[in-house]
Amino acid sequence: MSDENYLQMDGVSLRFPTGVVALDGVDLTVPRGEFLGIVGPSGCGKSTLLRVVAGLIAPTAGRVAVAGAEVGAARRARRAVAFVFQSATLLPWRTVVRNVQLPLELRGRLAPEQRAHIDETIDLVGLSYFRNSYPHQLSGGMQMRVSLARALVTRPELLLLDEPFGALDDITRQRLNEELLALWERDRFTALFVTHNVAEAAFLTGRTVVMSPRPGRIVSEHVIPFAHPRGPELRASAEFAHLSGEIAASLRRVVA
Amino acid sequence: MNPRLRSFALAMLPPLATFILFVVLWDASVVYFEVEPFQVPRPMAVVRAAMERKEQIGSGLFLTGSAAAMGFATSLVVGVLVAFLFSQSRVIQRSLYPYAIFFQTVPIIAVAPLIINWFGHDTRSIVIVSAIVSLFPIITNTTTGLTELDRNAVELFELNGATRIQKLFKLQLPNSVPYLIAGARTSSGLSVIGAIIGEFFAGFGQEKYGLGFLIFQTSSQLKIDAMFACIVASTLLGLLIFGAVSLVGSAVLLRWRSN
Amino acid sequence: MNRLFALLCLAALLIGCDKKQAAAPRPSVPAEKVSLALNWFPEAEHGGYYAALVHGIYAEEGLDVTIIPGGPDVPVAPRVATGQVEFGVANADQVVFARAARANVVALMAPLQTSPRCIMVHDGTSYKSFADLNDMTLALGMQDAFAQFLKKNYPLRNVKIVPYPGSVATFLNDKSFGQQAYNISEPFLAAKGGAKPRVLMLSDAGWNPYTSVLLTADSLLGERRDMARRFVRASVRGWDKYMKEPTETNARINQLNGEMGVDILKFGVDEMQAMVYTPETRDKGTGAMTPERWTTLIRQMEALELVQPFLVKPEECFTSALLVP
Repeated sequence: MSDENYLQMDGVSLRFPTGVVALDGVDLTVPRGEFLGIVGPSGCGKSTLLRVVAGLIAPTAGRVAVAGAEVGAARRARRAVAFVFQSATLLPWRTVVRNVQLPLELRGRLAPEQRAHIDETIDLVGLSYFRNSYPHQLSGGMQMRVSLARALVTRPELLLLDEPFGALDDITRQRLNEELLALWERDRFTALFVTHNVAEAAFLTGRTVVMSPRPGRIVSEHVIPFAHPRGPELRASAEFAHLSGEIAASLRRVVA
Repeated sequence: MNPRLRSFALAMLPPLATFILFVVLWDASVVYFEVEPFQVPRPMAVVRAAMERKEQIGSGLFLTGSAAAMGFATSLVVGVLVAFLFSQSRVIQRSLYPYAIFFQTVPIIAVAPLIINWFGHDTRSIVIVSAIVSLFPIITNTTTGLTELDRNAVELFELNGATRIQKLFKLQLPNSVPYLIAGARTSSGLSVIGAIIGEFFAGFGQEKYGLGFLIFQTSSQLKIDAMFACIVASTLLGLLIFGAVSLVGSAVLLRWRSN
Repeated sequence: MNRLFALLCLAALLIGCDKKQAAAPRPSVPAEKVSLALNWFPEAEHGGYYAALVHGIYAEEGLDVTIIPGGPDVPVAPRVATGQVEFGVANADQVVFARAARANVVALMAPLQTSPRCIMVHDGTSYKSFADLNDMTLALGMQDAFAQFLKKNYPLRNVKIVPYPGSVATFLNDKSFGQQAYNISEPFLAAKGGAKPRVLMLSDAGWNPYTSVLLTADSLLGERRDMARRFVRASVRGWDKYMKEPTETNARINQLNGEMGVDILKFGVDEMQAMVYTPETRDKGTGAMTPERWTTLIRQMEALELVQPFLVKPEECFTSALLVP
């Protein structure tokens, strides 16, 4: 294994017991530290792909390796992967800080020295003031920030994001995009970001693949060459519009 | 006025108005239709009968109330344990659930004499009858709370390598609390009915009469105004237990009810 | 169980009535339809009323009678007072309770001069009189006046009072268990179950309300006096018939209430002979009532604080007017 094929998927297929083929021969190589976008129409198996990478679902054919280890083993190592779901999925009976620390609790006894790290992570998503609030006291965007903090608190090597900002309004979504990107620019973890929003993919990622509807397979690949750090002004540039248009066109082709 | 007091007063207003309207209509109907007092007494006669027997009704309230509270507590403990068992495996749940429905459908009037046969003529039998009557909503609601989990939350736990015990204590049990509270609310009223039926068959022993006996006695002696007073008292008891459970419930839920 | 049974009884009765109507000799004028509501499931203590039906005595008086079986705690007096049924059967203390509640019912005849009410205990135990009823379990419907009478007049030391179970099952298994009973039925069941029962009669202790009393509403007595007279006359004849030839009637009661075998009904009739026919009835006729007996009962109930003093007047509780031939 090298950093070039940190995530390696070869001929990954998934057929559900119902007979539905969700993934059909997906080959994908992601180097360490890449921010990869996956776009596709709804129901194309993007979410399923993330769950296969996370080891939550076993593929019926093919091979998935993270950092050179088969995914099952990687999961047992329990450090590498964090998942951000479509909904914030916060436990309503826990405060912000207790939601964020949950993965650490589940992985072992919470050590006192982890306190500072937890607080720092909450600070990172800008919620220090709300650390003792309950989820229902927060807006949708704030809840998503908590969800992000909960993923980052484990210092993941691989962050899987499943349309995390899909339910938010545009302004909030863009702000969160910028914040997420800033976090990535700081830590350079490997990220797989599923979305059906082309502009979001173009803004965040270094490379974006387009998936076809079921059975899901990768049909095109787009390199996003913009330099980092990227700011909100990028969205106004002609190149950005051009690239977004290309991805959108590719997406339209698979839907048609 | 204190805003909390104000909102409480506002919440109490509609049911209070309904109550007053009901009493006025009741009284007017009795007078207008010339209903005999041994069929339906006038509201004031019920109040008078209640005042005359306030010690008797008071101690009846206490006896029936404590039996109902114990029955309710028993159903709470047993119900949660059964629900826990159900949540452990689909097979267990599928094999035992039909028998849990027994507690919902059992004609308690038919089973009560048996229970007294087994457990004797005392408060214990009354508590058991009360618990049986109020058990089912606790079992079903808590089972739902323990098993119907947010799919993503389950994945989150799995992804972080949670153990069964961690999943139980950090996800399933807290998740079931709102369900348990909803079930407990239904059960609280049923427990009073159970205690009254139980006393019908078991009795509390000499010189100790609960509301069940008082209703039976006043009805048999045609003291209908006093019987109405006892019925009102048992209704109030049901409301009291229901209110207490709701109060505790909403205090707990205050923290995690979304919206 | 009891309720289901009551329903079955009712159904059986309705079917039975249809047959009866077909068989009864039809008088030239159409028979007057009236109902009689019982205070319990059909048993020996209702036998005379059934005899009047079975032997066509009511029909002879131009009455088409439906007998409605009762059960635990059926409100006979209120139904009679409001005219839902023309006649009812209840014990004398229920008449007093009813009049105190202004449910104006009046007793017309009293077939059982002696109350069959008793406490049944095991023979060979120390429970030889009411004063001996100590250190035991006693199944007693405390809502009943007689139970209050017992509690007030006897020590009942260390007695655990439990609700009346409706059967003798517990009694059979427990020597220190006593229960309320009618001497005309439960002792027979207990003996059949292998026990040797002994009865302590409440009437011996001074509690002796007329039993299985026929009652009607004050208003009916004003408006349909002649019909009431015929009903009473037929009922008295029915009781005399039942005391002499109970076989057919018992078969009918057994049909209506399977728990009452013809053997126990026969036992009941034998026991009742001395309760229906007393020196008083020999003098005044079957079903006779006296103001003294009613006064005694009312004073007893007042002393037990079951009714307010002087609220109920003995002369309002009964009338012998329809009994005079």
